[in-house]
Amino acid sequence: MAGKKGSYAGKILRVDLSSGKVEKRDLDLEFAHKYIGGRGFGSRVLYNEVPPEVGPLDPANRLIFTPGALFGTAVPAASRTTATAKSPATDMFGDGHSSGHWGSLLKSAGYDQLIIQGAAEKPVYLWIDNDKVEIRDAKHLWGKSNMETNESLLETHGSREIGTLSIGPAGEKKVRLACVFSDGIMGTFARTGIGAVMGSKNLKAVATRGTGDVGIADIAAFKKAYQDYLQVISVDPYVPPATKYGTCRFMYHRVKFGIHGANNWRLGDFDWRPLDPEVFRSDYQIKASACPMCPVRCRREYRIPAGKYAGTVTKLEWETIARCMTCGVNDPEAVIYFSHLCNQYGLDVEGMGDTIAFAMECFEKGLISAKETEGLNLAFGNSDALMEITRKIAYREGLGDLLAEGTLRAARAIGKGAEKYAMQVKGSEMSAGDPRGMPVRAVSYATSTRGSDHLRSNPYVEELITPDEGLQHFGSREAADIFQGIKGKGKLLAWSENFVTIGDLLGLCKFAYYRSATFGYLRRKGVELATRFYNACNGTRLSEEEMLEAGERAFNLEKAFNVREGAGREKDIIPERFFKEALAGGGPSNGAVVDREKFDLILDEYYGSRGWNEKTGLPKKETLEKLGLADIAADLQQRNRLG
Amino acid sequence: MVWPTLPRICSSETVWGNGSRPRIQAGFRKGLSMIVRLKLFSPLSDAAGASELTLALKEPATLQTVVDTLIARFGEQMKRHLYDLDDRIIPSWAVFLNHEIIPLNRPNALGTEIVAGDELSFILNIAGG
Repeated sequence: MAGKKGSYAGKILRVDLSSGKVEKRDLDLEFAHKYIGGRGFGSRVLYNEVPPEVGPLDPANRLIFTPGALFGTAVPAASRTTATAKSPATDMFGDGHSSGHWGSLLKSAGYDQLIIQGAAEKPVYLWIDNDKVEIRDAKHLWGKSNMETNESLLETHGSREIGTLSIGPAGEKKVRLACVFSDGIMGTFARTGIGAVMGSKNLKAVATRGTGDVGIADIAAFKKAYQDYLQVISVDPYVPPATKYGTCRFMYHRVKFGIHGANNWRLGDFDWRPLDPEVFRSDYQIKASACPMCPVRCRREYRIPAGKYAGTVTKLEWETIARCMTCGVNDPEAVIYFSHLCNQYGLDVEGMGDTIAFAMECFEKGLISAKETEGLNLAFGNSDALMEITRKIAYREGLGDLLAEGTLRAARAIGKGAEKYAMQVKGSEMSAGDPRGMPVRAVSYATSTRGSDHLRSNPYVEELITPDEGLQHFGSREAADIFQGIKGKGKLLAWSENFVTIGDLLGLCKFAYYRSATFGYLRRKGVELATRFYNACNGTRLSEEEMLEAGERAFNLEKAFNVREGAGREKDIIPERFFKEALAGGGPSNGAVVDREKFDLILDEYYGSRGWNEKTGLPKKETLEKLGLADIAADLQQRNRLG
Repeated sequence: MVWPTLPRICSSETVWGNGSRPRIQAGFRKGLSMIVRLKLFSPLSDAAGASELTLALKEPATLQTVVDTLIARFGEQMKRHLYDLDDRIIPSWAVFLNHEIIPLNRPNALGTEIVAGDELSFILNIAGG
């Protein structure tokens, strides 16, 4: 089968920047319905085309952009695109996910996926204007920020109806913490250093204009699903705080549980009051807006009215606040300005916050000297130092050149035991809240296929299920016990990873579909309605179980990629600090550690639930075959990498 | 959508839609009133129009009494945030009772005894990000 149907545009676009060759081929709809889109398409292509001998910054690495299967339709909160590549941060599977307009314009131009390979000899950008695809000189864009690049491309192409992807100076310098941005700073493909891959290809930007459309096969079924979605979010108490505060809302949860992880993941409690969501809302917020098609509206833009950062306007998400606390900073204007710098330089705020916090602790302990910082007082809480070291990392100046490699590589270069202060998993820095005292969350950070990540699963399911639901769905009432439970947790984690992957296949926002106040609302949105939307758009009859299996298939593909790179159970681990150092600073979780025995028991159950070998963490042949990945099972068998 | 029939606003001894019954602790002194302080986070604070409240309750009181009183005072909007469409308490609310965490997905959480002078915070126990 081939050609345009339903929510698919119908073609795959491939551009070789080394040869200048542009190739278009029809989308195979059997492939489409098996891998769905977004992360599924990206992970399959990456496995096929990037073998272990290819390095992340080699021209042979692929940079793959795939809008979610429902992006471009009117499905609410379907606005996400996946960028996939071998990661310069982890040397394993890497990806980032962003909202923005670009993905829908790629589909309107007729393409479900853009695969970029090779590297240009000089800076270029890609101009996709429906059928016309050109590689253009980007000399005039090189060195510009993401906002400047976006504005320049809008002007060049004489229309505000184009979408753009771009990297900032950090991507150009191949900083391993660099991101790709969508439409200026509307969206960010953060994590895993995707921006460095784009920089390694000398690709500054992609500008796209599309005037076509995608279809909806069954309008009546679509409308019914739409109404049902709106009904669920109208009663779900998870939604109003998001609409009121944006993602800043998460502060209150962190405060109540005392899991800030301030000062490089040492302090559970912290002087957070200057960063109260009400402060951002009342003193700095200038705009509450939405990603395309989203009724939740949790995007926020802030402006600093006075002082040394006066006039700064930028978007900001919760993780920026969290990671500034990791650096000991609690000045809201510094937080906003740090977000602004990262957005303009094209840097991942999560990786940056942890990397700078790592450097601050090394400075505190004398592992980095004042001479090495060139006089910069890299003390926790010094917001001026935070801004200056951010600039140095973006341009790889002085100590910034070392830190631009990320925490793990920097720690290894520093030596002297610095590695124990590098808070990372698989080479990717920590994110979200401190896992001490919450064992399943700790395991979820470890099992994520792209390194530490709270968005790779939804272990928070344990917070909203009842014991009866735990027994029914995960085999144990203990699954609903946040603090003491063990049984059922591994199964819960595996299920939640498959569950949230559905969102990345379809292009659905995690907050709009994969977080809820009850398990009933959660499954209704994330599985039932997601599947109904897909079927309504494409005229298919996928069952909810098949949709979950598609999520499981994509997760196993990524796991297989990492296994082929040499990763086994030993990589599914969190930093030693979480096991050995009690959370300090007072607060409700003071004194908590991650219990290693519980961690291992949950991990064992997780592997068993996934059909992977419990000792090695490697997938079993029958598991991959059951998921329709027999060719991958054969490949891993040949390499002696099956469980 | 067909909205379910609302259960009447009830006392602590009412049996709710899911059959759960408040666990009345031994040792209460019946009939006396007491004051407890509440801190509410969004969306409960939005429904109440305040983030801090003082409630007068009759003894004996449990967490169920507090929930019932909130609904009696602030009506349908408050109920919608605390109960799901099947009239089950929304399990992801956590109540911090004088800083002790009581997740409402814990069995018999609503039967927890409340005494004069207690401070309670209601917060959605969903890290989420």
